Formats: sequence, C-alpha cells, structure tokens
Amino acid sequence: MQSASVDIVQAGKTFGSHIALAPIDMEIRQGEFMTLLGPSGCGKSTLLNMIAGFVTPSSGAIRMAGADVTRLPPYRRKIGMVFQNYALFPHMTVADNLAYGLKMQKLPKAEIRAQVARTLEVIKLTKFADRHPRQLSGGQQQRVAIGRAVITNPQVLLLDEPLSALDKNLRGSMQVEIKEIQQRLGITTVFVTHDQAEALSMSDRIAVMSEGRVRQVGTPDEVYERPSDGFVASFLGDVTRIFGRLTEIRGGAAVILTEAGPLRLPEAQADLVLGQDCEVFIRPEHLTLVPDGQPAMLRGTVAMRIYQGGHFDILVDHPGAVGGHILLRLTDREQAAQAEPGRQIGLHCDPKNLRAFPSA
Amino acid sequence: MTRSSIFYWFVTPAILLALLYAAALSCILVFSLREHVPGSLVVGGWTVENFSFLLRPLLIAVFSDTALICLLTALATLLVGYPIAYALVRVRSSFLRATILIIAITPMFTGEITRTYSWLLVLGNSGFINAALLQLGLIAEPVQMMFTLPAVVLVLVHFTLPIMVIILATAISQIDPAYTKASESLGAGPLRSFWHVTLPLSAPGLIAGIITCFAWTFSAFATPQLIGGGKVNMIGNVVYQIGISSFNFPLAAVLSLAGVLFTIVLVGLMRFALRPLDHIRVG
Ligand SMILES: Nc1ncnc2c1ncn2[C@@H]1O[C@H](COP(=O)(O)OP(=O)(O)O)[C@@H](O)[C@H]1O
Ligand SMILES: [Mg+2]
Repeated sequence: MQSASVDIVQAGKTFGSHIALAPIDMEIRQGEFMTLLGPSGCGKSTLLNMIAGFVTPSSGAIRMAGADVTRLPPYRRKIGMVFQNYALFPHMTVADNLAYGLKMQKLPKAEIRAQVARTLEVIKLTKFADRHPRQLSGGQQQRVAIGRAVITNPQVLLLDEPLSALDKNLRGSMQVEIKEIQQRLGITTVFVTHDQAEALSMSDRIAVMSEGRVRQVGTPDEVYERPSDGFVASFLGDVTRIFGRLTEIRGGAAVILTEAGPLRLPEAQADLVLGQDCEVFIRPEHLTLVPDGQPAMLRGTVAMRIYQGGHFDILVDHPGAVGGHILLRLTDREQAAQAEPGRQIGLHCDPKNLRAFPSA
Repeated sequence: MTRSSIFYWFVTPAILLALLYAAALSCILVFSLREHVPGSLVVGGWTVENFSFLLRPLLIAVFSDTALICLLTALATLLVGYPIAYALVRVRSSFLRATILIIAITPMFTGEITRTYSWLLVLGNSGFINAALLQLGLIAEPVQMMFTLPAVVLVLVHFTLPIMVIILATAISQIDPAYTKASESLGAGPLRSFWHVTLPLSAPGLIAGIITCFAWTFSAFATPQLIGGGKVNMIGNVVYQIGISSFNFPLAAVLSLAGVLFTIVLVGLMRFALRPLDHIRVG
C-alpha cells in the first residue's frame, strides 16, 4: 500500500465548552515526518487521535490520500499507531503481537509467517519471537510496538510520545531507529512529543502547538531560526529575553530601547508597531565574548559557569533580562576560562540573529 | 504500642474464630464416627460404617446434582454478570454507572429468605409471570416453574450475581483501554477486539468469578428448599432432612464433611484446569 498524504481541513474539537483544538488547517505530505510539538495539554494527542479516528472532529474534515475519512472508524482507516506505553498485548507472544494486524486482514497463514519473520529481522528481535512482552526490556518493547504498527503497511504511522517512557540514553538510539525505519519505508509519519530536542532532530517539519492552536509549521531550522512568535522562540531551544520598547524605525533598522541601552536590529525581525513594549530574543550560541576595553552590546557580571561536557553555559547577571540572567554558551575552553564568576564581561550578538516580539 | 502488640490485637479475633470453627468441625467429625441409634438423638459407639453410605446411588446422585446446579449457576451468572461488569467499568456517564451498580449490588442486602419468597411471588402458579401470560392469552394453563431445576438455578444466579459483578468489574478495570485502541488501530472492529483482546485479558476475573460462585452456591440451603420444594435437592437439603427428620446425626455429619471435602477437591480441580490462563497478567 502507498503511504498517503493527510489533509486536515478546518478540523477542531471541543469537549463541552472546552476548546481542546481550535479549527486548524494542516497538510502532511506523502512520506513526510511531521512532528506535533507543544507543552502538555496543548491538544497534540487530540489532533493525532483525530487523524487515527479515535476522536471525531467537532468541525471540519480529515482526508487521507485525498479521500474523506472523517466519519471512518479507526479500524477502517489504514493506520499504524504506537502508544506511549506501547500497549503490546500481554497475553500474546512477540510474534503474535506482530501477526495481529495481518490476521485481522485474513491473510494466508504462510504469508503471515513470512512477514512476521521479516519484521522480526527489521526490529532485530528474531530470537525473542516467542517471548511475552513483559519479558522484554523497554527498548525491545518499543521496537515490537513499531514493528506491529508498520507490518500492515499502513498509509500513515502515528506515534504518541513513544519515547517518553525510556531513559535518556535509550531515547537517543530509539530516535535513530525510528527515523531509519521511517525513511526505509518512506511512510507518512505523525509524531507527537513535548521534547523540542527530539522534534528538532527527527522531523522533516514541526508543527509547534500551544493552547489548542498551531503557532507555526516549518522545517526544524525554520522554526528554530525564524520563529513566528515569542512562544515558538522560547519553546524551542534556550533563549534570553530582554525587555524593551520600540522607539524608532529608521533606514530599515528598528531601535529598541532596553535597560542596557538601545539595541538595533533589521526592521523585518521586529514584528512591532512604534512605541510597543516588547522582548528581544537572543540564542545563547549567538552571543560572543568581547575583549576587555572594547565596546559591547551588553555588559554584566558572570554569576555562574556550568560545565556541560561539550560546552559551558555561562549565566551573566543582567537586570533587563527575564529571570535576571543572560545565558551564553561557549565551546571554546580558553574563552570559557575568561568568563570567571564575579568578573565583568562584555557580550556581542550579530543584529541579524536578534528577534523582537511583543511582550506576552 | 509496639508493632507486635498491634499485631496481636488484630490477629486474636481471627484466631478465636478459627478455633470456634475448628471446634465445630471436630464435633461434626466426632458425630460422623458414632453409631446411629434409630429413633434416638443419643448416639452409640465408635464406627466408620457411616462413610459407606456415601457410595449409595441416591447420595451420589445428590452430589452430582449439586455440582451440576452449581456449575450451571456459575456459568449463567458469568453470562449475565459480564456485560453488567463491563458496562460498570466502561460506561462514561457516572449517573448510569451508579444506577447499574445499585441494581447489580442490591440483592446482596436483602436477606436470603426475603429474596427467595419474592421469587415465589414471581414464579408460582398464580405468580406474576403466569398471571401475565394467562392474561395475555399466551397460555391456557399455568406453566409449572416452581420446584424445577431451572427455577432453582435462576434464583441462585440472582444470589451470586453481585459477587460475580464485583469480581469481574475489578478484573476488567485492570485492563488498559489502550489495548482496545491498539487492536482497533490494527484493523479489528469492536467485536473482534473484544474477542481477541478484552475477553482473554479478563481471564483472571473469569476464573475467580466462576470458582467463587461455584463454591458459594455449593452450601445453598434456603433457595433449593423453598424453590426446589423437595423435588430439586442439594446437599444442604439432604443433610437437613437426614439430621432433622430422621435424627440421624452421624449420617448428616458424614454428608456435611463430604460436602466440604468435595467442594475443596472440585475447586482445586477447576483451578488446575484453568491454569493455562494463568500466564495472562494484565498491565
Ligand atoms: N475526552 C476528553 N474530555 C474532556 N477533555 C479532554 C478530553 N481529551 C482531552 N481533553 C482536554 O483537551 C486538551 C488537550 O488534550 P490533549 O490533546 O490530550 O493534550 P496533549 O496531548 O497535548 O497533552 C486538554 O486540556 C485536555 O484536558
Ligand atoms: Mg498527549
């Protein structure tokens, strides 16, 4: 079966008077890895279950490969689904779990056996075919869940926070495995997570959601480098926010007056009107140390230097910043050595990397 | 208070009760080993003769009838109780859930005699069902329902239903609804999902429910006495007849002991027969 595109057309969901999902439009392309990213309760699962057919939209429509499936129950949609706690059938062996979907399609026994053997190879669990799920480690259970979801060749693969039950190391390697299987099969995939690092590393595109709305849809570098609003900018990656007010627009540059003096940035990067209160967003990796005695964009006293293995996180006291600190990330050990706690340092950021959004 | 003194506070009543039961059982054991003196309440010398009565066809028939009634009751209760228990766990509306719970559980709070007499009003020749059928002209003569085996089973089902529902509902509530979702996502409709996933995962409850109902009805007395009216006899009724009508306490004691042993053995056998289902552990 061909994997399919998914079109979500003005689909929304209300529970009583509570709007779990405001009507949204989204187009998931054939073979694409789309991630729904957002904090808990923002409506990710609701949207995913709407695509699966477990939640009936209060308005709008869902199309798969162009066909309207809005009223189809899940078992008539050609989906594969992976659940947060895997939901492997505890009374069946690994092989029986894998065979389940094929049995429901009433395939011949020999055909089922061959496909199960092939899938066991893909998920590297051939030796474990006769075990029951509870005799497997978390990572192995995860692989069975993925195998069971893709063995029927579904049009769409849906995963609801599939990695959140695993410890951090395993999560990393499972991310790679899921991505590999997905690319090998070329299957349209919708992946739900609240972990921005996971979203950035795995997705073709990310839909950033908050409070039942989609804030931005874009490739990982689009949503990270060119966030459409302050929520997206602060939800993905680390960021320092500095309070200010737009005081002047001249010659394509916006001037924002902050406690640390005026900051200049290209007008296109400030979605503001004159006189509006705003926050300037700076990524920690975009800040550099300025040699002593030279003019700096920002100044402050180093409050803390945190060793992170591959890099150092430096917290610099600054009254204009949300939380009172500017975050700076240094990979160079010699530079980091200069940023000694208690020392006054100057910081610079290329204006093209500054973003300003209205205050929340 | 130390931990061990609290322990004794809790355990002492249990020990006293256990001793009381042990004493009663020993009395019965002693009676079973004494000679019966016809026409007298006083028993004679020591003997094991009484136990040979157990092999009489009449008594063997009573035992197998009792086992049959208990088995039918357990299975019928299971069939009636499962949908109720399922609804109790999975119905969304809390009002509906409370209603189901109340209807299912109330039989537990009515006395056995009251409950049985109200069935007389329903099943009797001039009872509710016959009156209604006659009125509607569906039958010309009242249908004989009292004093039949189905009637005894029916009333026993009413008796065991609450405990079955509680046991099954507990088991079903342990089943993560995500299993049903997983099954449906793999192409199985609600019926097939139920058959392949929910039902097998209810196995711990099915086993516990059947065994409990079986053992519980084995000692039934008032129901077969009143509804069976001497035509359908269970062990309890025969013990009563032998003990109270013919004053043969030794034989009544033998029958009681045999009943207890028979239950234990049958429950053990059932447990063994259902062992293949044991590997099912939910969650
Ligand atoms: N069956 C339901 N009944 C009522 N409210 C619900 C139901 N399912 C979800 N919600 C609400 O809808 C919102 C979105 O939920 P969900 O999609 O599960 O969020 P997420 O998966 O992003 O954490 C939440 O506020 C949640 O409480
Ligand atoms: Mg969720």
